[in-house]
Amino acid sequence: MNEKTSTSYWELESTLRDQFVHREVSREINSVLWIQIFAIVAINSCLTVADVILGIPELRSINLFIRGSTILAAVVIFPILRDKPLLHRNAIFMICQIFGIGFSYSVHQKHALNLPLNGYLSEYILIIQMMLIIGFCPFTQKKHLLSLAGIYLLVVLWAVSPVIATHALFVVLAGCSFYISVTIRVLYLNFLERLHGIDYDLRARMLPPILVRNTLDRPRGFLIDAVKMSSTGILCITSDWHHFKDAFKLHDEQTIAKLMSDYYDECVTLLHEKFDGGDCALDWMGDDVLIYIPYNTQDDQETETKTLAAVNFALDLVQIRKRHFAHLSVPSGIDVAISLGRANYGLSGTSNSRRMIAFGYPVSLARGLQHHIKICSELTNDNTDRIAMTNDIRNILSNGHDPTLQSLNLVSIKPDQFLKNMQVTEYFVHLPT
Amino acid sequence: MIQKLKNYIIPKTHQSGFRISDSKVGTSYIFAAQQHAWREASETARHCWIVFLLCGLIGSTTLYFLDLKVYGFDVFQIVFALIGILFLNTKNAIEILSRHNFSGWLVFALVAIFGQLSSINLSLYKSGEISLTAGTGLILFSIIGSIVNPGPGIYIKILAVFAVTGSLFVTRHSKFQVPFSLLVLTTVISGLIWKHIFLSIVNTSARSSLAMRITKAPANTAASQMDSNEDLDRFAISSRKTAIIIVKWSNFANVSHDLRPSDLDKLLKIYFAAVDKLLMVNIPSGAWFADVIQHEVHIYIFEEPTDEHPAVLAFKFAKDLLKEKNSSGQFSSMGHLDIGLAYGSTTSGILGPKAFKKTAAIGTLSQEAISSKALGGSIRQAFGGSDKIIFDFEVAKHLEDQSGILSLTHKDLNPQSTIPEKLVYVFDFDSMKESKS
Repeated sequence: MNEKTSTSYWELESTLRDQFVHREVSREINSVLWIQIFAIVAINSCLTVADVILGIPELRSINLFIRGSTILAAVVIFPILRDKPLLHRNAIFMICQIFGIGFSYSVHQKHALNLPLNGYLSEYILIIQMMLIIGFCPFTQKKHLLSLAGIYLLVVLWAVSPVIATHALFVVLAGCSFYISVTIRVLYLNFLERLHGIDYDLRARMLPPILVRNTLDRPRGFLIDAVKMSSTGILCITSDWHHFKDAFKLHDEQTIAKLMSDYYDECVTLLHEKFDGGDCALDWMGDDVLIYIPYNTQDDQETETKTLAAVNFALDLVQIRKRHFAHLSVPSGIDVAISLGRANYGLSGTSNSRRMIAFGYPVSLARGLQHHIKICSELTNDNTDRIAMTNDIRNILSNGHDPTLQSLNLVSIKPDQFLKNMQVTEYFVHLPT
Repeated sequence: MIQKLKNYIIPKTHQSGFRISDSKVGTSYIFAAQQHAWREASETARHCWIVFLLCGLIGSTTLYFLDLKVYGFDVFQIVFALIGILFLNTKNAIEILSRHNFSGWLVFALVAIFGQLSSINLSLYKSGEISLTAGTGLILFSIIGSIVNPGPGIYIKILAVFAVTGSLFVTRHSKFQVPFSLLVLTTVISGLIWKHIFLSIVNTSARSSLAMRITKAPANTAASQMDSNEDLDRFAISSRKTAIIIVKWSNFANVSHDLRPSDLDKLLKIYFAAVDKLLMVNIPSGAWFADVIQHEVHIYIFEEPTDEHPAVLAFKFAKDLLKEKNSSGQFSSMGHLDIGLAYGSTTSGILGPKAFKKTAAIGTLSQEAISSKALGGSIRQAFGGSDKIIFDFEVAKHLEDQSGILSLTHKDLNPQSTIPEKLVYVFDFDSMKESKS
């Protein structure tokens, strides 16, 4: 496994995470925009009714303002109702926003000059509300927001120029309101990004990559059934090293920890490549690794393909370990065991460690096989890497279509009592020739 | 639907840190997350409020020099005060109630509010536009409103402030009072909605952040580093005194084979929840991490000055787990539990692949706990009994005051054993029942 492949996997992960966060943040910021728009419509409706009931002609500037902002709300809602891609909607929104602001402000300004008191009032409301809208408009990119704000400030300055002294206060108000709305917007977006980033990371920790990815485009409800414990075909791969603890006697903890992290990173990358973009779950504790690969027991072709991939993965695992740990000068080998069968598979664990786990015959069998070959290795003080597999896997290998696996040197081994209890009469170990 | 999914995918244990929301320990960690959220929210509030304050000062000065009427400015001042009150409430109560420590900015803010509202009140009173009572009420409510506990109370107080503000306008030009009051009301409502949205997102973000950290590190480390952007660096790999507990079901293979998936799922949920609960109760500091490989639970208890010795805590937890298992009918299909304990120095910390980093103990100590646990079957075969806690001298020497602990040699278990001298200490659940009776 080369470094390039490893990097590209994590890059892909990072890209998917960014996409997920962007989509969720856009959705949330849009919902806030909706609240804002409805609030404006509600406020304006109340004011109109109040004007009519009270018969206050002086407040017609507010009515004009209402018209302006209602038009604004309508043009904003219209493109959102159309199911266009998000970026497209944003582009339309931006034009509408500028139009709405320009229109309502110019109409208002015309009347405000004649009506000082209500002019101040409606001007104030207009500025604050428009600033809030700009602050929470659905642009996740700051540059668009700042461009828009720049245009708006120019409009404000132009509009107030005839009576600049009177309106100095409102220019200050507009500036402060804008500053605050942008600040809150940036903070709000940061919190949203952090929240959805954590959401993605938690899912990525608990679920197989393929499930995480499916939820990016599919309804969230898809996950509920996918993570429920159910009976399914499981290919189980377990691995354990010889003399792992001796490495700590010769090397410092940081070195070993770094090597282990790199080793696991490469395992994850390789799993992703071998099994349909991550249709598998990995669990590890110390040097002990457990991998579960679900498959459809009714589909012989899938069973064969995944089994061949699992054996291939086991061979690569041996190579990865060698590459990362050979230079440590610690005599060690790795025992890998593979088995398959029906098991219960689903989300389980304590508060610290909830993840996809398989329970049942193939898992016990793989661990039993691994335990047995480890005992054999210890008795003979043999540090050869070994890959153990059951008879059904050997049969798939001999019928399989992967020529790289035909050269495996498989030796038949008599099982121990534990394995006999599991109705295993013999199993096979690949020994390097 | 979304909440249901969230509960399922990110269960309560991850959302709030722990499963048992009413546990004192659990709530203390939730409180840590909330504290963090308030700190973040108040940073924003402080920032916004100071900008408004500056705006007010500039506006006042401008109006003074231009000799303009103050109507527009009044509006601004009142809205300014209300927004200040709304935002200030995100922080003050915590400072006052928890820390008993007024920060400089808070004093400054209160003086500023008082000063500004007094000036409005005075000018309006002089012009005969409001009564002295209404003006004083406005000031008092504003100050009380700014220091009340955040929570439902604030909404009531804000409404009270609005009522006073409304009464203020009654004495002014009657033509404008209704639309004017409506505007103030909608501003307040808008502020409340904003406050709610903003605080919700800050709170959820803090809780999720804590939950994420708990999947990597012990809860006390996760909670103590909430304000730090660094990735739990305090728990980097190093040698630590640690007690290790390994819990194994003796007949899990049969259980997983015999039970229906839904029943197995239910049993495991109850079991893992019991493990979480007992850890929380026995180790209140949160200096533990529970990992699972298959049904086997590996628990690491780290030294913490406020806790008892890790070996003692490990034994207490193990005993309580056996009690819980045997007192509840829910675990009847579980078979025997063999619990291996070990204590000593071991390499531990956060490690693993990028997306799956977690706390792990790597070294010979885990092997000792595994070996102890593995003796359970042989001991049961030789001497009978039920669930067992098995450990070596390193643990036993801290448990001198515990009764019911037997010591065995490996030769007692297997006459052909090559390590006859090494003592194994066993606590059998049956002995606990006998001592009780």
